[in-house]
Amino acid sequence: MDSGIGQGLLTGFAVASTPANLLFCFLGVTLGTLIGVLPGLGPAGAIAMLLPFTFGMDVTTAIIMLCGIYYGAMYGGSTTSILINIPGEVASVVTTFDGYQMARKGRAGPALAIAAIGSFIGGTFSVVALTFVAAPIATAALSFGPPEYFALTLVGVVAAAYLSGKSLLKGLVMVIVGLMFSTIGVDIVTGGTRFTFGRIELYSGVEIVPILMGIFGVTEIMFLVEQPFLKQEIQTRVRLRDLWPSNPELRASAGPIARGSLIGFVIGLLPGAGAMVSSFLSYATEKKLSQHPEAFGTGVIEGVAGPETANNSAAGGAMIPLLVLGVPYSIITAIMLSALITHGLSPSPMLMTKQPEFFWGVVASMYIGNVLCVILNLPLVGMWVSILRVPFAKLFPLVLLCCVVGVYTINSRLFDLWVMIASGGIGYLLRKADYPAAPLVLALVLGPLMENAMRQSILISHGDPFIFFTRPISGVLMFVSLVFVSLPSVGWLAKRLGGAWRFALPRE
Amino acid sequence: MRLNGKLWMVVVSLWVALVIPGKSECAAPQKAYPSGPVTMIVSWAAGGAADTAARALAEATKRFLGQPIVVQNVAGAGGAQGAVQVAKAKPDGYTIMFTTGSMVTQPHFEDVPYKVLEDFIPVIQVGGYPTMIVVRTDSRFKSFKEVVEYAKKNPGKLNYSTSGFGSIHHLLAERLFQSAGIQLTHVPFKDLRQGVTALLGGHLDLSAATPFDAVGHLQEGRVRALGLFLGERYKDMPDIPTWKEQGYDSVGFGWWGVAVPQRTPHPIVQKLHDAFKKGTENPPFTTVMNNLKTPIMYLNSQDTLMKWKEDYKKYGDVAKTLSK
Repeated sequence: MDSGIGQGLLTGFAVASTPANLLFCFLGVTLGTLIGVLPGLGPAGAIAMLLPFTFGMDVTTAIIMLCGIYYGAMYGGSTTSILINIPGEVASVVTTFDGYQMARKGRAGPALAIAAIGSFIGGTFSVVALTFVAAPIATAALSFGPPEYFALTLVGVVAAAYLSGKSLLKGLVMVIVGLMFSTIGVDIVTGGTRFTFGRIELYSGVEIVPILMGIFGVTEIMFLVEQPFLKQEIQTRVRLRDLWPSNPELRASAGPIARGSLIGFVIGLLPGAGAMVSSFLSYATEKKLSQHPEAFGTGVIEGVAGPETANNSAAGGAMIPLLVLGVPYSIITAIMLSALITHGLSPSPMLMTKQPEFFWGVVASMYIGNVLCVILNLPLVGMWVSILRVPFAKLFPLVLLCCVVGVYTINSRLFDLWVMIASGGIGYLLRKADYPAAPLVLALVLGPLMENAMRQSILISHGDPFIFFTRPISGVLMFVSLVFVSLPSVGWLAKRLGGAWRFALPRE
Repeated sequence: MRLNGKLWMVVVSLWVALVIPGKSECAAPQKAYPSGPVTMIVSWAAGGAADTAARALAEATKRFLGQPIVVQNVAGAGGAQGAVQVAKAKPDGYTIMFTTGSMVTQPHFEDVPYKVLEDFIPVIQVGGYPTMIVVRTDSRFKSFKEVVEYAKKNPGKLNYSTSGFGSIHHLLAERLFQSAGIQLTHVPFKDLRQGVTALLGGHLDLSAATPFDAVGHLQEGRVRALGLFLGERYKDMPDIPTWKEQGYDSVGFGWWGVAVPQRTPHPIVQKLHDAFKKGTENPPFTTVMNNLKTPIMYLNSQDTLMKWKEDYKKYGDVAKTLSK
């Protein structure tokens, strides 16, 4: 077995390092990074648009490039989150919490650098795991049926409510609002339309990107317009030394990166919005384990390191069910599966032995691609940071333009732009009232998955709601969400009982 | 450091330059058709089976049409969004539509702002995906007959998945079960593949599938097909019997084709038809359809219209039997 893997990797690197494959790997990660950086345009759209151009290509080369776009986007996604508080794609929403606060303190460089380093470690970790444990793990992931799926998404939304913002109540309110909005559209169980007011634009539900761009992008710009002079001072002092994380920062990031790699990999394997959920869970974990949980959200590097590692690790984890079973758990891997099938390949456990050049070539290219990404991204940190020197009066209209074009590209309809503007207005009011936007976005993304999974489970169990508790994995996950909801009261109790112990610890 | 501002500008304008051209519309001058690129609207998201087939068809056809065919995805509303856009487009042959079978099923369940038999002229039918019913290989059901025997004794106990209430797969399956006199619990998923995945994990009894969702699983022996909804056996999977052979009545498939808005002049329809017909005989369309394990099933303009009418009525009849 081991010699098989060694032999495979050797074959793989031989395939991946041919000039054509190296070139397309580089093209893929560069394009991916760019797409990740630009708000509005996500990797799913980009991969889908590029798919027809791969018709004439060798299948290995094609998949190497498409994979490169996928994980490249995970590297780039953090950039705008950190610099201007606008996530490049959903998996980087969490990075706005502390990344942007770091940027406001003049620590944009370290935040970007640690995001790149974490991404590299997370990405490489998941490829190593893919190399060694792919086959057995993929089969285990199949045991996730609708009830487990529901329980997992429940953990996701509850964790989101718990961790973003100061008040659990406000977080929960936003989750519920998000879930309510996610019920708009055609109900797949009965075929009826709900809350569409006769607008066919709403038949397939609310589109997530316009809301993301509105509630983060437009809202942020409105806030900046409100206080044009206050913010401008932050970009003035950027010394080379400030681009790199300090030693204490590096030490503080080690734990979150290690845990983020594991969390991302495991969640990436499972159905659901893997990269996004894993970033939320990593953030929640770090906040829980931290000596100074109250500092989260004010610009601590752990809050960037963990989630950014996790979302890259999830991207690698998601490749396992795809390559080994032909089972895509996310939109992006579904498009990749189309690409594989279009090229006449059907993924299966036999792929490794039947098409070793392809399987190991793609795996090896992911090692190379991750190195390329970090080489590409670390020197760019300086450039990204200096973008903040562009006067906001010029920068933000450009950002807005990006959002508008990106949102219009998805479905080529004006309706989405109105949604973006409206969510911008709503986002502004929410922020004024201190309601966190992230749980809303996560609930919107997970809502339809959650509802479908719940109704599928109930149909399967013939109406018995205990299906969620009697199945072991689902039962454990339900328990975890219960823990998340009760955490604040547990914390309150702990403070009462363990006050003396807490006090003895040195602050900071 | 002024350069960085410029660099940002360059990045943005490059991006805009890359994105905009695909969206630009083309004015139709009074020259012989076609004198400019033709936009083909796909009502589904990029990257799916329909989109992949449409793009391969466009690629294969452009040299016979003499103009590029630009594929534009107008996804949403279960296909209605794109259909409405084409129904309202200028009937000049520069906006055409990649049609899918949902056009004759969706109107029976949802209030769609287009009339399939009045707003379009079908140009051609190019193919369609054969639906089948699959079980896990380790399932106790070796044949559909055993499913029927069990389900007659335990009505509603077995479940099966499709891609949603009112989807073509749901209607075909319900028609099959009605003709067999059995009742199963319908568990809808967002697409067939998710259902097949749940089936593989042991969470479901049966699932509707097309080769696009199940070909790998079939080849590797993870699932077994009990029957096929086509009129005759499919050459690429000759072992799968049709329902007709097994004595049940349910034939149909989600077709793919091309249509134009009503009132498009006949010569233009003819020209498009001839070009697309040649397209269906050439790569990359032939290779992609072969890889998607989806048969090429050609019908001319008149026959396609007949089929639309027939299917519209057929699925309408099934729809009436389903209580909402």
